Amino acid sequence: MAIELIHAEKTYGSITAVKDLSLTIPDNQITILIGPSGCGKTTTMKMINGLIPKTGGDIMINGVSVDEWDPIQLRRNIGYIIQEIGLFPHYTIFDNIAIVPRLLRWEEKRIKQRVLDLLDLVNLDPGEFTYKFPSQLSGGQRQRVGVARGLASDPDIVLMDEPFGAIDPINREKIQDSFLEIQKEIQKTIVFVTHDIHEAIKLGDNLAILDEGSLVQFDTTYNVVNNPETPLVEDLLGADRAFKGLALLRVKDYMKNDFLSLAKSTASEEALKQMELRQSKFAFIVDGRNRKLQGYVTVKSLKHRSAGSLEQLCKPTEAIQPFATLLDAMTKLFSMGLTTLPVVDDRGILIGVIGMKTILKQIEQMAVLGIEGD
Amino acid sequence: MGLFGYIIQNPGRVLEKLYEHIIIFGISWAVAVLIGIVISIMVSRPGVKPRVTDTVVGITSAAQSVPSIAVIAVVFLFTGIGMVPAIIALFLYSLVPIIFNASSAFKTIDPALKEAARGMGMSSRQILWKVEIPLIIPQLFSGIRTAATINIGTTTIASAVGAGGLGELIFIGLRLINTSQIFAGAFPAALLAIFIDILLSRLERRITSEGVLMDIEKHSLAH
Ligand SMILES: Nc1ncnc2c1ncn2[C@@H]1O[C@H](COP(=O)(O)OP(=O)(O)O)[C@@H](O)[C@H]1O
Ligand SMILES: [Mg+2]
Repeated sequence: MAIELIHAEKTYGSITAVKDLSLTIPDNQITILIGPSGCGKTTTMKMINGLIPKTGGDIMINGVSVDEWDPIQLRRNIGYIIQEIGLFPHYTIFDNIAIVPRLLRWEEKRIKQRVLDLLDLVNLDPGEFTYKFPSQLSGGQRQRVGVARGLASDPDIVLMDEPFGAIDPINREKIQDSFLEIQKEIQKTIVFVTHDIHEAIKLGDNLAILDEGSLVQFDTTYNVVNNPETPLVEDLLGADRAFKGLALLRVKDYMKNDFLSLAKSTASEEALKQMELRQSKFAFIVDGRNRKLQGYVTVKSLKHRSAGSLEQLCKPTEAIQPFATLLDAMTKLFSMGLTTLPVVDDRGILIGVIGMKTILKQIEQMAVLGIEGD
Repeated sequence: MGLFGYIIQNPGRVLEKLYEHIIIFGISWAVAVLIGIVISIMVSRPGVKPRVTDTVVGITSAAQSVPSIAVIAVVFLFTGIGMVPAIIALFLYSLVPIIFNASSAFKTIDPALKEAARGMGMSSRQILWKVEIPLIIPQLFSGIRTAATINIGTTTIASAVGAGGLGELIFIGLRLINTSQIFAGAFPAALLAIFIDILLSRLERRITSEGVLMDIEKHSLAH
């Protein structure tokens, strides 16, 4: 693993900013550090790139303790993006992005190519922006340059400290979307600090929740949202408030029809083939004649017992009706432990699916729009 | 006899006094620029307590209102008359606006810039040369130019402690009530001040990043 914190600790005299923090950051994913202000997020980040010396425990970067890294070399190998961005006002956009490659003494030709590629990546037209100065850019554009600069030397690790915190909500949404697209392409190991739970859920593959310098919960975003382990995490998720908002929304407006359904008479080899073709881990089984939902099968169960008819392997499933609310759907999803719920009309005919992802997205959007009200 | 009479009749003497003037000003000012920058850098390093920097800014700010003649008088008391005491006094006096402007400029640099620079793996020296110095150029030059203008003017007063220079023509002219001789001292001194200031402003424009100018403009518009 690229980043491993082992009982890491930071004290300032009698103040403990980070306490006994052990955290293995999964490679090539976005891990969010979230928690109330002053809980030690920034301190944790800065201990990773050595801007703040730890006072206890250890932090391994690519298997080497930060104590053994030359701090300057360490930082040149880790992207660092902060809320204030810190673009150099006296440098053009080009020169700003080129800072770390130049520190690393890349050839100018390679730097030029890299800068142009990066501008492209962050959706800034190189023709327009290369030779502008930071003061000529909007806040959102500047932050895109900040992201490009953080990625300039193609580091494996990127640290981002509330990078979008100062951007207005509409542009923040946009830059978050682009950021996710960028990450899909570059697959960096990203540690991302935020105090905004909606940003955390939207961007994070994993959430690490900190409170008063200690780790409260660390898991995939999905698991944290589904199983907040402490009242603090529940509060943070604002579950109650967001869930109330879900009751306002109807399943029919959010269901999708990108599901795989198979007649119960289908041969299991054929079923397996189709599921693999669609890259689906499961399929719904319907009555061949009247399309009524019978249940579902998984790839796993089919592979286990390749012979036999689908009817035998078919497991019963809960279903939901189109006019039910997303809150109902979510409750059923939780009780089933599945990620997708079939939607059937009042005759029992399968007409769509509603997924956990769709619901989470709604929670997030409602919070942004403030629909959950109080 | 016109205003230029003395200059036309005594070109050699005027040139000699101008030369002395340039020497007194040049040495005291150049050394002040150098040492002023060094002191400003030293008091603005990250390890230095903010209190120290604030004290330096405070002292130099207050010292700017001390009349130049007082500085000359004090130095003269300790070192006697001649060119060297004049140069020492003028050096001290020039130091003040340079240190004041440069060290307050260092202080006002956005900490986020230095933070980002450090986070990207720049060394302290690289941060100083590539970030801090380029950013303080406008204020640094404002200090250097003020020092130059004041210094050239004050050098005329230094003639009173026997330093020579264009002030000599002025003082003698005053005593003889010879307007053209006063002019022969005052006019070249004024020209020198204007010339040096134009030169410095050219140099400043040349080494200031366009981005810094835009930034200043933007901020002054915002306020
Ligand atoms: N230089 C310092 N001296 C003393 N305490 C500090 C210092 N820097 C940070 N702290 C304290 O450490 C705690 C964590 O700070 P930080 O990591 O910046 O929190 P955040 O989660 O908001 O980023 C806070 O309580 C803060 O007051
Ligand atoms: Mg912080």
